[in-house]
Amino acid sequence: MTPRYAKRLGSVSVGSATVDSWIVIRTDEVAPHDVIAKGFQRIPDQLSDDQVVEKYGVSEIITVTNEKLRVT
Amino acid sequence: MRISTLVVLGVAWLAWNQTAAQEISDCSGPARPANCLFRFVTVSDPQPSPLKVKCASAAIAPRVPTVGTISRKTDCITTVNTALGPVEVVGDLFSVYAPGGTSLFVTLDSPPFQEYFGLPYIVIVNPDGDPVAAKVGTTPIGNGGNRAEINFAIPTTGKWFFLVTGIGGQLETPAGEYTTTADFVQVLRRRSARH
Repeated sequence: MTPRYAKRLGSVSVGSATVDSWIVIRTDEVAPHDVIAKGFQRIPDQLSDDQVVEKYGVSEIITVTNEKLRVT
Repeated sequence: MRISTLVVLGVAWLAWNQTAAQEISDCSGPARPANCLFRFVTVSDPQPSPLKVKCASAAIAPRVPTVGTISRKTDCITTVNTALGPVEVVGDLFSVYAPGGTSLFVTLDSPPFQEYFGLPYIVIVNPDGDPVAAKVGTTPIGNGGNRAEINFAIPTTGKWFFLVTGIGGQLETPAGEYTTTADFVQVLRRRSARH
């Protein structure tokens, strides 16, 4: 399975309640340590894509190439 | 010219033009310069009810929130009128039923890679569906180094909404003048320099 990674981008807090915003990517081009160095955490392979989408509350899992992740 | 080329040129231009970058950075400070158009965008002409936010996905959290329970929908879109004219925004729509006086705090970082490195953008929508405040990040630089924060005291009890966005080139006028957030900021800066 192509490795998937999640990174928390922010949160919404109202009173004592908090919901986090995440971005989830998949990449087989970028070395895992390079992705993790950008603040992502590896998602266990046991989770299906549907489970990942539900768990992190994202609309999609974005496929990222090495070129895209190299950034600005 | 391809959009990706425009993005690369835009980022290179911003990195090269330190004066411009400084102008943008200054927008995040407490002393907001008169020519800073995008630190805190006041909604000049709120849209009338009903709620103009449309979402492609169903709510993940309970559909009928109780007090303090935050719900979220993804792929939502709305238009807010800013000092620069109508801006179309896409993102996650959060909602909560909250008593007046409750504090709201939202943070959002820019995603850390090209093409999706849009500006963090937060829009607060009141129970009548009117956007009442918005906050934009200060630079188009990626790597997660750009953050938008908003601290908002909910004035009246009701179901309040918060649109949180910034992934991809979602800041776009109805005419499609700005296809990426990097371009958007460049145009902002150019306008700001002229005024």
